[in-house]
Amino acid sequence: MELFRSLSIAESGMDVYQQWLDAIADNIANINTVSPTDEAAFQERFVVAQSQIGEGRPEGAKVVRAEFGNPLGRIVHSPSHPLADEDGFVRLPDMDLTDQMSNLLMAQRSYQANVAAFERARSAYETALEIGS
Amino acid sequence: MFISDVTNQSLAQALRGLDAQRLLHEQNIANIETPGYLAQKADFAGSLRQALESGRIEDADIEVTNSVLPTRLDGNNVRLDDEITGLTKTQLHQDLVTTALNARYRLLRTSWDR
Repeated sequence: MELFRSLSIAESGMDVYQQWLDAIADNIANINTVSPTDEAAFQERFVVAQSQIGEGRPEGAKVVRAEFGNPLGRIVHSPSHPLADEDGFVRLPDMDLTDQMSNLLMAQRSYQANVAAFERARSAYETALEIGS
Repeated sequence: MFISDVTNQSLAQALRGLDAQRLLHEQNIANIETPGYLAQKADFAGSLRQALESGRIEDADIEVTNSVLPTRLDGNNVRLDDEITGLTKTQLHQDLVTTALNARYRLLRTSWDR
């Protein structure tokens, strides 16, 4: 059995939410990225997490793959844009800033929750080490 | 002899291994932005167990390996949360081994105080 297991579990959670935060930051950075209509729009990035079990014991979570949103995006009429086609249309990503901001809050809070779990576990182990001293 | 019996020698070897681990975690953090740097870690437990099984504790050594995690674009694969978790675990582990050594020495002191 691995020593101090809950520290690794909390760390795996931190890693998952770190990657989700990265994905959200990427989405927000590209929220206004314009593409011509003959190319795909920027695709919203999602991360897919999965719980990990090793030898019947929990081993936290892991990001197993990324998923991507709608490549068609939104067609917007913007005739003065340099990337516009002959009818004056461009493609914008099919994303909503409100969604991204609420995801950002969730990811941030969940990351903090994992750090809290890490700190609690550490302090519990430190208490255990005081037994008999 | 009690002072250098196999238990105390194993505990001392564990302390050496843990010190090597701590050093490598610190080195990895220092190189977190060095292009092409691969995270390293030290393992003493496997070798210590083999040495204990064969009865030759002096054969125990510390293995240093490069991390096989995927690298970033700059060829570096140090992950800060890994290193911080490792440092915390190493510190707790050092406390544990030190507690065990202290208990052994306390026992010894009890005997010569009589």
